[in-house]
Amino acid sequence: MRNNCSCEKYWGLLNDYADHRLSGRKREKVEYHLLFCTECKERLAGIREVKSAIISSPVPGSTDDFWANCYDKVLESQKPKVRTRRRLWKPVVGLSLAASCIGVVLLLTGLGRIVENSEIPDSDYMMQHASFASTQPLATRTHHVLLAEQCIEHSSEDNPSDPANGLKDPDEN
Amino acid sequence: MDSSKLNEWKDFCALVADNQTAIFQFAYRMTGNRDDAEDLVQESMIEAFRSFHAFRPGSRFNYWVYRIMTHNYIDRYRKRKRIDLVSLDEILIGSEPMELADYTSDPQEVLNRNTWSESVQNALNCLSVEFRTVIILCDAQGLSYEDASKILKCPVGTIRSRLHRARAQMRSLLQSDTEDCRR
Repeated sequence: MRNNCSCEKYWGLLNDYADHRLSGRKREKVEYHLLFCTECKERLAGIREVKSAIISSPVPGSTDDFWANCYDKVLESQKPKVRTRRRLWKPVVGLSLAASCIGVVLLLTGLGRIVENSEIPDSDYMMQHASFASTQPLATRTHHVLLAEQCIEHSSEDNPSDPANGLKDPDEN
Repeated sequence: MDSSKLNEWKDFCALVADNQTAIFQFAYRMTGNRDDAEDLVQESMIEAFRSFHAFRPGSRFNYWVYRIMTHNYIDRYRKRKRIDLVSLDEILIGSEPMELADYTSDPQEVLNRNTWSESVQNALNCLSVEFRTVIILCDAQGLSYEDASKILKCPVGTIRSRLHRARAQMRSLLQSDTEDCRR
């Protein structure tokens, strides 16, 4: 009986030998080794047995219906996917509403500021300016001074007992 | 379909018709049962036609399909591995007995029970995906190591090594007459 150590180098070649992949010197060496080694002969027989078992075992065949269905499925997969139109109106309406709200808020804020800026000033403050302004020639008076005079006129109409209403009309001078 | 697509379809159908048997056999040996084999073939045919423009005329159509089927099978196998498996031997307190799917509902498969081909298929089912693919390509479908290495995109040395080990495993499985290892 041969030493297993020398057989190991042939084990890897047995598959190639069974598959007719060895040629020349390698094949001769394997064939010579097989003449004397029972273990390697058994291994080779086992490899051939497995090969023939796999080749010879029958496999159930497919049916014609299967292939017809298969072709149909392949054709179906090639059809372009129908895309449903996205409903864009919802986001558009939403955005419009949001923009409108922002616009309204800005508008109100802006109007508020304008009103604030054009607000009739405090009457006491105006009184001081008006008394000074009344001594000035008309041409030098600023718009605000004129506005202050108007303010006084309005307040005198509302409250005739107000001492401030005793101011002279500058035009009278 | 436009005329170029129609010509493509005709060429495709002609190639499939020539290789129908080999394609189905490969799928059956890989999956171990008819239903899975049909699913695998269908998926692969859809993908094959989608990428048919990449197929080089004159090359082996069945080899090209084997590559697609192998990738699809490996992907499916990987997905299945992620599914949580429950041990059937565990008895859960308060639970009802589990019902198992009967893989042998196909009368053809029932008839094949205890036959040699059933033993061979059972043994194939017990191999790992890598070993099963190589042994089916080389032994069942008759491909050379070089063709198998192109399909599986690995070196010829890897194919040799896997084939060697797959055959050794098959031999011990056939000798021990293993029960169905279908996954």
